[in-house]
Amino acid sequence: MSERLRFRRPGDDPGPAWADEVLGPLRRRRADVDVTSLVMQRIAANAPRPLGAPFAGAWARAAWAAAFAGGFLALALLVGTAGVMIANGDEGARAAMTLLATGGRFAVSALGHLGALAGAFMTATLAFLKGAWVLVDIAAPVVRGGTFVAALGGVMSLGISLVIITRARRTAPAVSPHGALNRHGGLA
Amino acid sequence: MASEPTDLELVQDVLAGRTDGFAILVRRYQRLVATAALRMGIPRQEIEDVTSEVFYKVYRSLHRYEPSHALSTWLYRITVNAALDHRRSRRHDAKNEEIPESLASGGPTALDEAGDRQQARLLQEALQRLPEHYRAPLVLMHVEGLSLQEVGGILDLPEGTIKSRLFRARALLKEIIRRHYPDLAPDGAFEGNA
Repeated sequence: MSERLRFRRPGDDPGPAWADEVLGPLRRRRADVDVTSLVMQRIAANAPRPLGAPFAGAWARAAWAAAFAGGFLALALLVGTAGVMIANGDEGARAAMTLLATGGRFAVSALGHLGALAGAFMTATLAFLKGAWVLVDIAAPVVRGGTFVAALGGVMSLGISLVIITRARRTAPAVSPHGALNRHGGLA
Repeated sequence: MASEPTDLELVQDVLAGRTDGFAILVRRYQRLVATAALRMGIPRQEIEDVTSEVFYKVYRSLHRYEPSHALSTWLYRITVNAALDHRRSRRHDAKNEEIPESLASGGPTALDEAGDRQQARLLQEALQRLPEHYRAPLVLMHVEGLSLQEVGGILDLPEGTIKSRLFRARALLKEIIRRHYPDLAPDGAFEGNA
């Protein structure tokens, strides 16, 4: 709507006094409104805190609780499965126990027989690896379960992060008071 | 008797979560914001919306407030931005502004007041013909009565730039008035120019 006018002479400024006089009627205009309740209602409805932290409340607590619960559940599952395996005389568990006993014996023996230590250590190591492999083979379902729980936790974490970011963007102020004007005085 | 809390104390209260302090700030400055918006060309029937929008934006970005500047300066800045945004989005309403029932306090007789209203309406029209980057400093300086330094702070521009824009804004406004609103000119202002 701005009018493009050419100045007939470069020195056409009528001066501050002229502007003050001409704009006098505008200067005498006043607006008297009371928007206090309107603003406070809107704040209460949309923005509990000026700084944001829109996700700091119940959601964050729930996320922490879920993460801890998931972790404890996975640990309990692992320990429980191992306990059942040992109690039922599972082959893998027996192998692991044998491995531990053998390892212990070798360790004791190694203290007394330093000369035979290298060979005994190799034997023990091989036995250990074999037993561990058996253990891993048996515990594969547990490992898969744990992996699934971890993956689920990761997906939940991503989802929560997305919600936090989306909410933060939505509630961010539309106008920045600093630098909102471009160098020509218009809005940036 | 307890003294009234300062702006900074209220801002700190609000940032600490005591939002009631913001109501005091709104009551303290709502007239300034509403009047500035009106003088920037917002129709009176939309002043309440614009004013509440300004305060809501202030609340949302209160943590960015720099105490080295007066709160009123910051409010002016946000108000000017909001007014320019509003004007851009609703240009077609510019000519439909209703002239207020209750204008100012303090003064003129009913007849003078009616004349003032008419002149104010024409002035708003004339100002709308100015480019935004000329209109804002002109209104802040010659209508709001702010200093050159304050206008520079509000518009985030050096004083030299403000001076040159004011120079051109006044010249342009004079030309607009001469062409379209000769009744607004001070007596004898355009003698020999027609």
